[in-house]
Amino acid sequence: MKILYFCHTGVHTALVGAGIHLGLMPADRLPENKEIYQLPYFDGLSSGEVGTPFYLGSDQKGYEVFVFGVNHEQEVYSKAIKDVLDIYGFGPDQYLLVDVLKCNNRLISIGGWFSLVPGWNHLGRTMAVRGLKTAYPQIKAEVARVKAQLH
Amino acid sequence: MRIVYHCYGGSHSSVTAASIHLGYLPNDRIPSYKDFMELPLYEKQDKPDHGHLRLMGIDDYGNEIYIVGRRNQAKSFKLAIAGIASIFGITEKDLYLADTMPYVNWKMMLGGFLSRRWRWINLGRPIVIKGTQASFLDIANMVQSVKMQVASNEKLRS
Repeated sequence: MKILYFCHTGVHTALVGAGIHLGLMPADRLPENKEIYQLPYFDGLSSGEVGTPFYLGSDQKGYEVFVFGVNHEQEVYSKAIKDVLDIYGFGPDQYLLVDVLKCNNRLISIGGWFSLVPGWNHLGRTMAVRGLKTAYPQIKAEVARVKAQLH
Repeated sequence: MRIVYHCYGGSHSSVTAASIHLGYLPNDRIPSYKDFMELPLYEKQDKPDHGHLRLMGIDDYGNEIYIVGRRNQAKSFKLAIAGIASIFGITEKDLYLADTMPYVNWKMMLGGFLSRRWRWINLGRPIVIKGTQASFLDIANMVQSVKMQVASNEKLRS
């Protein structure tokens, strides 16, 4: 089974969610800034690459975990992905799309976009990390819900 | 092979391209207002339909032809769909995404917006059709390129 976490860019909220899922992020405390920076692909995208899915790893049950970005069209992308996979015979028992945008706050949204703009990366990154730490409990809860659904 | 023509709303340029591909529109003249309005899905889709793939038909080579309205950000849409498809082993030899937005002129944008977004159909529809007629030959050329590319992919596969 493939777990597909998505957010606006794929390399902020979705990445932290996927990181929690895979045990790359702490389960019992807030992460330090460097733990977020050290996530593979964190903030490592240009605006022209949003949409590209990245493989993060497999969890304890062998489920493959990916992240990708949907800009501001989460409904459109979700529908299209489901329809494409359905056409090729892949059903909901073979993948799970996880929308972590519900965990977003303004700092993540604004910082995430600025971080993709040349010259504004540092400011954007700082804002995004601050926002992600604030949202961390919600992201953790969402991952817990996903894992409970998978068992 | 499945070919997906995509545009902003899935109501005009993608439908026109798919219809040309399938022979639903004449290839020896510019289609009339009536020709366009008789097409399945032309001027039909609204916001709730965006994202859904719609099967328009099967071409002479057995390829399934779809359309989808994907709003803005064509590039990231293509990256996401093609990227996730490839995760499941669906390659570009199985799924071809064709963006028809480069062939959309201002009349199509204005008319489409007035008709689909604001529901000023009596005003918007004639404008969008005029625009589609003006762009028809360019869209037809694009479809021809898609057909050639798909045929070339099929040759490489076999």
